[in-house]
Amino acid sequence: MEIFQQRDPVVDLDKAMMHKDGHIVWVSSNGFPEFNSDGILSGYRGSDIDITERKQAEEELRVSEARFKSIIAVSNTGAWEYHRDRDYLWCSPEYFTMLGYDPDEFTMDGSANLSQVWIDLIHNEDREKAAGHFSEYLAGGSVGMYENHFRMKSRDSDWIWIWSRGQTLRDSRGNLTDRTVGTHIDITEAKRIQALIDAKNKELEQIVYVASHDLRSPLVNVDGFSRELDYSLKELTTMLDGGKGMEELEKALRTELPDMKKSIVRIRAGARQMDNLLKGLLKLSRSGRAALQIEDIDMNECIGQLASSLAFTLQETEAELTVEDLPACRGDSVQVMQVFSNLMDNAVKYRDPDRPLKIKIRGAMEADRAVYRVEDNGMGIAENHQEYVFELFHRLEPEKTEGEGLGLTIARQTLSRMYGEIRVESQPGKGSVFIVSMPPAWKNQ
Amino acid sequence: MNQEVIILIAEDDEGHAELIRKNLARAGITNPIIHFRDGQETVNFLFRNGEGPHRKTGEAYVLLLDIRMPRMNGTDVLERIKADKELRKIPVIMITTTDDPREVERCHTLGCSNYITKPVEYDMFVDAIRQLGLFLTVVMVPTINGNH
Repeated sequence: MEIFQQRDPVVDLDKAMMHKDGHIVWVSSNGFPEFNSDGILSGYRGSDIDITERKQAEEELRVSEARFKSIIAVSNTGAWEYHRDRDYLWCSPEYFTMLGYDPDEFTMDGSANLSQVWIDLIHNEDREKAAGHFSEYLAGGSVGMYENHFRMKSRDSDWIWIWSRGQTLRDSRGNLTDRTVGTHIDITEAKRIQALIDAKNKELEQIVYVASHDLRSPLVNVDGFSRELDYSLKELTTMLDGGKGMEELEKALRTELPDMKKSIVRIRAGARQMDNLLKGLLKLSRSGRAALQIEDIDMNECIGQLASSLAFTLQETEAELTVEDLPACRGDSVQVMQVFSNLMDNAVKYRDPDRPLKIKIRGAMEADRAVYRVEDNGMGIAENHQEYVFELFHRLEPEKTEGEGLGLTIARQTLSRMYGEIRVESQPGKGSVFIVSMPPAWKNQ
Repeated sequence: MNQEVIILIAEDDEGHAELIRKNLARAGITNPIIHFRDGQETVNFLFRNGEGPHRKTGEAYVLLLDIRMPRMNGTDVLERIKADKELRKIPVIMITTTDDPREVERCHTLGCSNYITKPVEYDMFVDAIRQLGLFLTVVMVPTINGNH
């Protein structure tokens, strides 16, 4: 009631009043003070207008704006509005916070800032295409929706994949204005998963390719040698039907029978080979589905156990095993042990017959990963073969060594399910190093 | 030059090698045959490396080459042959179980003379071998001069 004390006119004084029937009526008052001859305020003269509808509209607008802001905030969507006439890009705070920046770091005063807030932050490889695409949308008369994908640099110098969409606004007559509004959505996680799916698809494609080749190979033998049998049978039948003498018949039999026997041996070998391949594929599929129990693994203990279970084999081959202190990692201990058991088996299998086998297992923490090296002084792997050793059914010396060519394929597959990796470094004639990298243990870091 | 072409078969599968041999004979092709069990043996022969037999100067060869082989695969063998200015004259016929278009394309780019997919259908296989026989008689097989 300061106004009354100061004797000022009343201008647009909005107040809520109770209507006779109980609902609220908003009233806007305007009036002038009136004074009596002694200069004492005697009252106000003016008017009250019912502004309930306007107040309701204002309230709705306030609620709607708050709703819009909270949706933008919770959806992690950055909103933007481009002013073409000034080359100015208004950005909501989320536009910057989703990249880890403080919005105050950027110029947002209505002056040209498109380069600072957008173009300069785009990845080198995406910049030209992304910026070009936006210009084309505008230059082409803003037909339909604008849509763009690019990487933007975050405060931590990571690259955030952004999915940008927008549309140029039209005025009430449908003419294009110079304003384009849109949103930025962080799709980094979706891109990561997409890359993972692509890698898996490639792996699957490779498995199908290799499996189909390796199954077809024995099939060629089965079919080919059964046709050979057929030829032999036809030959003998012709002989019989042709009324040849016993002597000639016997001679034909003596040449055809060993051939027929050989064909049968080949056919059965082919069938056995296919059976083995199918068993191997089944094994691979099972290992890819086995439930994992992820926990911290004491690798010193695991490798110790493995060493004692391999003691006999190592003694028999006069091999020497050295194990250094190993960092702990995180994964499924049974599967991890299986991988290392496999690597040690391989070291024994592919040892150089000319010198006693030495296996050394070392480990260290390298940039947040527990990295292990299984080193041997065996035959080694030629460089052009190193990329194939993890491939399905690939074997180095199929005639000299046993095995189904699955060990390293399964090792890589199980490790990848535990966010682990495996690769090989090798020099033919000197030896191989298999390098396994695993996520670190959660404890004792 | 009237001399007998020597057929080189690079094939790790004994059964396949025997089927190729039997069907060459059935199609009336009686040229001498040398069989290699992997890519390395084949390369050693052609480039006269390591142990085992080496190619002779003045002989004419045709190579039937499988792709998936241990130690060195067929495309690597093909690549090395075609990179050598003398050996590149040898006609190379890929005989493989894969009909992957990318693989076929790669071999043709590298310069193989023909590409035959090992068909499971035996009649087609025989046809392919017959075509090969025709190929052997039609193509002028150049001799390789001197040491490469």
